[in-house]
Amino acid sequence: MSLPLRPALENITSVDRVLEDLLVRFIINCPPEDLASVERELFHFEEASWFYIDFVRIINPTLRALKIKSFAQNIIRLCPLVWKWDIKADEALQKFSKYKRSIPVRGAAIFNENLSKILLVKGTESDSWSFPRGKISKDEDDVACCIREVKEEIGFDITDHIDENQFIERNIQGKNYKIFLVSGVPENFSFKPLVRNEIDKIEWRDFKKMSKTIFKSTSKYYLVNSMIRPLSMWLRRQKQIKGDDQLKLYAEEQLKLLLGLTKDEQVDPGRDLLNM
Amino acid sequence: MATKNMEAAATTMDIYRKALNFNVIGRYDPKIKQLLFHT
Amino acid sequence: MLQFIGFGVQVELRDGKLIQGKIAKATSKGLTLNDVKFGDGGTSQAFKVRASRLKDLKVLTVPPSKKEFEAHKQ
Ligand SMILES: [Mg+2]
Repeated sequence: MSLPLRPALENITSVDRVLEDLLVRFIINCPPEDLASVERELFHFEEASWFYIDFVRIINPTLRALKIKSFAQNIIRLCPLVWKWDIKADEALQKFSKYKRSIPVRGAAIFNENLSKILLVKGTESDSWSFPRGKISKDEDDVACCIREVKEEIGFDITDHIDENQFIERNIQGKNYKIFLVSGVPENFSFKPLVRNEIDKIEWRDFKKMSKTIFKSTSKYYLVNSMIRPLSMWLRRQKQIKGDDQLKLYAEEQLKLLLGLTKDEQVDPGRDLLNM
Repeated sequence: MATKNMEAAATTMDIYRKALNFNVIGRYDPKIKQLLFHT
Repeated sequence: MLQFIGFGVQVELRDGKLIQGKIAKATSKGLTLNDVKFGDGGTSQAFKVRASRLKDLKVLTVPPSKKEFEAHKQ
């Protein structure tokens, strides 16, 4: 579904109204074969819950967080007809997560300081461009895995740039992907893979340009295309925050001047010289 | 089996689906709401 | 001065008190704040302070209308 998001969802304060929206977008208008089994239906529930997290929480942070279990329970409460199975929803969800037992993959969407470009890699075996990423090693948490894989593949350490709460998650063909969102990486850094036989190319891509052409048949991308919308939204939010920060600093400067709060040296750096 | 029940449930679901679609889509564009109303 | 209306600030007075509030008026003579919170936990609808009593100032929030403007700029 491609309903424009902003006007209707932006100012909603009622979770139920949002859930109704998501029911329409993800669940009740599916073709019957898409809901023909518990697993298939749960995949749609999961997508809807990620939509909730990605979009709605970014636009309207006042809405309460909902993990998949409570999300599902609320959906079913709103529309009981949606759950026609004999098994209970939380039991089904348990089985569902067991089903997703293949090794999770973590990676990073890396943006420059201007938030205009994204760094992508191409492997030696495939012609698709994607995020630097890799599988979790033993006893490694998501963030550590991401930092390690990114370092191996592009030679840059994102420890100081990564936020464990900022990521996009997707299940694709049974694999769980978590892509952390990172910005402020210097464009002129000399990126080099530490593992030379895996990565063939590393390149900055203009994000706006890429989003316009990403669904054309000639471009070859993996993961990036399925995450392009939350990426755009996150970028917009980051720019907004950056804009706000600049505005705050500017306003502070001006207020201090107005109220006479600035120290003398700051106001007139040449004063001492003139006074000599 | 309980085909009559299944049919009834399907029809109810269908009605609910149409109603919910109508309400949600209407929030985005009042014009659509008018259009749906006449369909 | 109109450009400062709605900004959330924290001011530090010369006597060390910290006060938070939203700017309703700002001139070279002083500030008028709304939705005020005092360091001791007290609140007030409005509060006026002379510029001469101020030691420092920090901007905490941006008014919502400015936010919208940024957002729609895309
Ligand atoms: Mg790797």
